[in-house]
Amino acid sequence: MASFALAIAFVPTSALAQTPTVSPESVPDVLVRERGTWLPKVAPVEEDYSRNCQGCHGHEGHSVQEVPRLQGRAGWFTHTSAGRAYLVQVPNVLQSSLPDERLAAMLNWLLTQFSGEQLKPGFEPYTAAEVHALRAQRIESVIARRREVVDGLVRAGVIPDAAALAFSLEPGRY
Amino acid sequence: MKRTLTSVAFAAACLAAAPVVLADELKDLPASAKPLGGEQHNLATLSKPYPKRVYVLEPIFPVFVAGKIWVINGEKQDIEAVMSAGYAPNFAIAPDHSQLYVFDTYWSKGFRGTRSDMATFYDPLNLTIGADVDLPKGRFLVVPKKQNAEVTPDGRYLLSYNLAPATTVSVVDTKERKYKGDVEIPGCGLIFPSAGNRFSSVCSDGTLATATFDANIKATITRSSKFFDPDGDPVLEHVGIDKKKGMVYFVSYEGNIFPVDISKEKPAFQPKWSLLTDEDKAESWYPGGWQLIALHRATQKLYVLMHKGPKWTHKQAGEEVWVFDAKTKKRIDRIKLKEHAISITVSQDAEPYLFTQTEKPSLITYNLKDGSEVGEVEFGISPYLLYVDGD
Amino acid sequence: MAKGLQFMDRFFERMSRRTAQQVSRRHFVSGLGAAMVGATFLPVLPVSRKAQAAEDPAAAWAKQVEAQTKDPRACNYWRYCSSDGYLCSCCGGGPATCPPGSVPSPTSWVGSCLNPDDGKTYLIAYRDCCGKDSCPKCACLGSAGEKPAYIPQLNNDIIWCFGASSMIYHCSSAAIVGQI
Repeated sequence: MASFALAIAFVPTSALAQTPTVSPESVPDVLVRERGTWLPKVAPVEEDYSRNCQGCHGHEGHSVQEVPRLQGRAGWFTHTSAGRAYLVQVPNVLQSSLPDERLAAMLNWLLTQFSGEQLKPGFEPYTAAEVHALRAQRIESVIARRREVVDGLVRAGVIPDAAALAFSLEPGRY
Repeated sequence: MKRTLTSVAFAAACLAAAPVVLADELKDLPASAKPLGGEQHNLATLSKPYPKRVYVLEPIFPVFVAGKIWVINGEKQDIEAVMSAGYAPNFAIAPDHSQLYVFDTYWSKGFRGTRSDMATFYDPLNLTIGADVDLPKGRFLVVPKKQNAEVTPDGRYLLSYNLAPATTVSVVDTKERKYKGDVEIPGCGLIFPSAGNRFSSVCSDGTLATATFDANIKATITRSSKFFDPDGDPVLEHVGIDKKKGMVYFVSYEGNIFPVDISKEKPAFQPKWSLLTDEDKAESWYPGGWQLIALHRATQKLYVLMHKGPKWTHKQAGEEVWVFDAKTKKRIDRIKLKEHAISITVSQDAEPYLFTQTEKPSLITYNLKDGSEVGEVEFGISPYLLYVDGD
Repeated sequence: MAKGLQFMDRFFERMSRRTAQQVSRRHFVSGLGAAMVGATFLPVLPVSRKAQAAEDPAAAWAKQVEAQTKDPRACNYWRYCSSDGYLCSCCGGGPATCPPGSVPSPTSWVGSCLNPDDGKTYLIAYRDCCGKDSCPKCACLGSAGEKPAYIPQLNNDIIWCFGASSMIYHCSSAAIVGQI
């Protein structure tokens, strides 16, 4: 129930003060008015995240155990070039219908929004050109590649061990 | 009491050809258990496969936890049997007709508890279960679509799609009756088998991925370039397919056909062509339904469910079936349906029938020689997918 | 089972008369839906709503079914432009409320619908309520902007119960994520 209420009010935690919202009185919907729900006004980059990622990754960058957690984690990947590439080359990012420019903008937003503290110091935002080049190389086995990238982060001393970025690859059989 | 009578009757039937003979073993039974004279119970089996037998997979939406597969005699227009199935099930027929496969999901306490996914092996004539093979990675739970569960053309492997959320295909060896492993197909879905160790899948960026796997289910994936536009004109998930020849005919939201030859390691894409003339477009005809397209292999004719509606009504039931020559790409017939239908298939024999799953629901059969109605069989609540021997 | 059928007969007859559309057991023919699936932005201030309606399928759907913002139990409630399944509203819940004893799924797909009363587009999370078998009331089907399941983020056939206590589908909801 609580998570449901949170999901309705899509308010990024770190930008609480800045996110424009829409008052319940201004929304012609019987339930919005009944419950007095304040809705966020969604910026274009947030809309791109919502349509392409939020359904599984969650409005705050974390969701169920089988879906990789972005909140407090995704930023680690920016510390190595392999990790930086991986964030663009995961199939749902690489194959997204978003053009390079918007994809770059969304990745940059997502990283600062959900994992600003884990970013490489002096993090250089993705550019459209970089995204374009990275999207030309596909990963054949995502499971294998992720393991390599995570091992690389451990070797580089970015994370203490692989467990820091572990998530369940087994489907949740509830 | 009924059960006792039946089991005793079985015993009696087994003992002698003559129906009313009391063997010694029966003498110790209480009088109430002694079979009455007259009919002994026997057990029907399906006749050998024939082209006009239709298997109708029914996910029962109001009671989704259980499904059914109806076996319909398309010649006699009659129900031959009904199979039970689990949650959002799928189905496949062995190419040599030696097995029927049902892909099931169950929970230990009905709608809750420990989940199990399995491929269940059925004898094709007496519909008894020979084995069930666990699918340890689970399987894709979705309103059933044919191409999420397949069997390789040589019958050796079952291929079952999974999204968890990584997209993979589980491989089951039908000879060993064992799960062998999963093939990763990143960002893709659907299974089009093309060889004993190879299948293709459609990807979210408009490309086709082809996976070739070895006995250890270690796979290499190759990708085509973009062959359709996933934004403006995605291909729908049911296809006209010739598994023997390795030809797939995709139909898209805008009524385009994309023929793809998957018979070789590298798929070959033939030019797309439209189902619609300018007049058709002006009248707002669109393909739509669920299993909306069928290919008659011998004559290379494509059958497509069509309705009048704007774009984005791709699940709307069809009011007509249009017939196309896949070689000339011309429409050669239009069949007005008695009842709107969501799914169609055709028998693969020389005098084919068109089977349509209507919204009533019912299965209405048309003779493709003259478009006349052969019959209508009513069953089920929400039947969805149609399979024929020789698919 | 027979009772359920009779109910569905009457229900679909009512819906048919109201919307003059062909209605199926499982699928309510909604018509159209949003074409904007990440490729282009919707205009923030359409010059002419009529002109926009001609181009924007979400608007055309709203027009075709006479979408309304007051009754969440009807298939033409504005949020259901791309909803697939039984409405939680008819089963003791609501578009953003799971019925008692069911479990809201944390995962969903996100589409968008046009609110007919203010002309604005809203992102909608089509989340399923899960954990027990179907609540077979108010079957609706919209296909606004809906894509095949090989693009899972935009598909409504998938049982969106990942993360719930079980993957059994109970009913469909439509929660507003935000205003575009």
